[in-house]
Amino acid sequence: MDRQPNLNHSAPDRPSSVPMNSPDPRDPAVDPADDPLLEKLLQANSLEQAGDLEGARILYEEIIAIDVSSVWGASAQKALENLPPVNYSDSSESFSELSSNASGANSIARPGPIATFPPTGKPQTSPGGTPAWNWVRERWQNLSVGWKLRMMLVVSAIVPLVVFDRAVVWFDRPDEIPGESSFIPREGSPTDRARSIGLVAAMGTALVLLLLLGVLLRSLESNLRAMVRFARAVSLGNTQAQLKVSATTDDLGVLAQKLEQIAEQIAHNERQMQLVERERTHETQQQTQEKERLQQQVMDLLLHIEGARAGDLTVQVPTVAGEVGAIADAFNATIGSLKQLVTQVKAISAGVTDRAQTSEASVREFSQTTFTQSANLQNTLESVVGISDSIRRVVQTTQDAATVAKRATDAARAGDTAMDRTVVSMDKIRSAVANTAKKAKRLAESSQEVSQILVLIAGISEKANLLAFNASIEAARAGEQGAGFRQVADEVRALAVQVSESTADIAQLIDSIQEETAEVLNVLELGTAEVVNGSSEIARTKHTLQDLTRLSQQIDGYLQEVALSSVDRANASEQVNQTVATAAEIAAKTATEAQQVVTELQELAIDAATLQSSVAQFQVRSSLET
Amino acid sequence: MKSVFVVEDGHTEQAMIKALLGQAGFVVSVASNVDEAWDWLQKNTRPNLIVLDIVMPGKSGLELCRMIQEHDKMKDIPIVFCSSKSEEFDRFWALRQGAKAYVVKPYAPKELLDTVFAHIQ
Repeated sequence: MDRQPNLNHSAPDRPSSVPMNSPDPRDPAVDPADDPLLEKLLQANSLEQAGDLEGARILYEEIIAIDVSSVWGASAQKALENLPPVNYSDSSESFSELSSNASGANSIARPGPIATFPPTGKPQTSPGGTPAWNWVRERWQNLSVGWKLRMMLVVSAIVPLVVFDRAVVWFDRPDEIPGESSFIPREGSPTDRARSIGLVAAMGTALVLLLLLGVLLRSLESNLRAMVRFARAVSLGNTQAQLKVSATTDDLGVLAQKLEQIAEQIAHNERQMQLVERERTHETQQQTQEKERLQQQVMDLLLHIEGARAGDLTVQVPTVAGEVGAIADAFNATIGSLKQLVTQVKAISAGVTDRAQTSEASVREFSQTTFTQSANLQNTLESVVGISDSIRRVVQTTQDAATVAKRATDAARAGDTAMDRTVVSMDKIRSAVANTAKKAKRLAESSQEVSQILVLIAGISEKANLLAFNASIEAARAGEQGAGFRQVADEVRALAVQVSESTADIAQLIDSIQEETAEVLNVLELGTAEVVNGSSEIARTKHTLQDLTRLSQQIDGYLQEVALSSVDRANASEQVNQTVATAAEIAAKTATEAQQVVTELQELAIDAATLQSSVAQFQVRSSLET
Repeated sequence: MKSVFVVEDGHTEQAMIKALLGQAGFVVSVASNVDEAWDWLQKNTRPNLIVLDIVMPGKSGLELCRMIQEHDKMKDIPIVFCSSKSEEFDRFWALRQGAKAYVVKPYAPKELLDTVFAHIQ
């Protein structure tokens, strides 16, 4: 433990300016200045701390003297008891009530629990004696009675003789220096005067010695008588008897001391006995009281414990001094813990009941919901199965449709091909017609050229005819010589006529050819127009067919997509089917479990109610608090 | 400056402890019962030591001692019981509640001061 280095109250860490007490408005405590005892106590404590034990002792004693029963007095008493003894080394605390009359000069011993007597101390010395005399006196006083008597007798015998001798010597030789005494008899006989003076002196000395002896004997006798009286009185039980002996330290004195000691011891023992008896009575009374008190405390405690046993945890046993107090305190602490525990249990069980009830309702609802859910799931499952079937049918139908669409596509494609071929044929026809028309045109042009040539020929043949006619005229003029020429001219004329005639025929033919050609051209033009029409129709048809193909391809694509997604959907719906089936199963299971939970919650609520009613018998709040 | 909190129901004894500890240089605060003391402890800075009487009206000092011991922030404050319950049993029980020392009333001033000096933080 770290102890403050300076226990002294002039401790340096205490600032002198700080007031002794910090002011506390709640505390109506006494100001030390107002209470002289407290002030004294503080002073005493300061002195004690400062090492002035004697000063502290005096102050403590003063406090005790003023008021021993107060807190200050009790504290001072305790402090005094704790102060180390200063004057005598033997125990001074006990029998302090005896110490007051044990310190008298007459008293031989300070009575103690054990009869150990301290040395009587210094004998009463008369003031003013020389040390030598005191020494002699002490020796004498310490001498035993027998030796004293013997010495007195010897002194009584010797001293008169010595006195006689000394007197004789003194008065016989007056010039001799006194003090050089010698016991040796002198030579020669003394004078009568000296002898008579010596005799008187010796007798006087003997008388004085006898008187001293008488006094001594008287004192011895009176002391012996006193001792006898004292012994008698003590033997009769008078412990208050006083032994009055003259202060001597010889064996009579010792005897007297011892007698007194014995008497004192007896008295002390008696007092002790009385004290012990008183103490014992007191103790017995105290024990009885203590026992009664203890019984009362135990009864109180038992009553409180009984209350607690009956469930009243508000009991608070008053804490009293002693074992019962400690037990009561322990009991209070235990009951406190139990109270806390029961309060908690109460709160928790109430909470559990509440929650169990609430939970039961919600779980019941939940169970109902689960049942409904289960049923719904069952319905859903059926619907999903129906949907699945439908999807399967859709898949089938889509596949059929796809086939049809494919066939349509194929057909359209075949139609397209056929159309292509027709277009080619048509083109060929058109080009053929065009060629024909061209040729017919060329024919018409050629026939026109022919007719122009024929016109030229007809002109030539007319000229030839005219020439021939002219030649024949000429020939006819030339007569016979010209006969031959006329013939030829006639022939040429005939030929010219024939040419004219043939030309006319040819012109006629050419006209008809031209007419025919024109008709052919017309027909060809019509045909070409027809062919163009047909071509454009065919192109349109082809276009339509191509559209149709594209469409049916699209349809096919769609159908395939539909078919694919339908398959997916069918798979998905199968999965959904399974999931829903599992969900339905789980829901059914959940419903059953929820039902079980409901049952268990009901049981829990019952248990909690039981617990609550069990705990309810413990009262944790006093009726005042409630 | 070290502070000591005194819980004591007797005014005279309260005054004496206060004067003695004040003389020794401590700042002393006092309370007269357990509830007041508990209130004070929760509102004020922790003292360096608590001098605690046992038998008081209402709750006992032992209970306050336990309350302090169970409190996380206060459990280290040394407690010195100062009570007239002089039996050995009481000393045993009081020290078992977590107190550092037990001074029996009536006590010599030096005894109380020595104990306080020996245990103060």
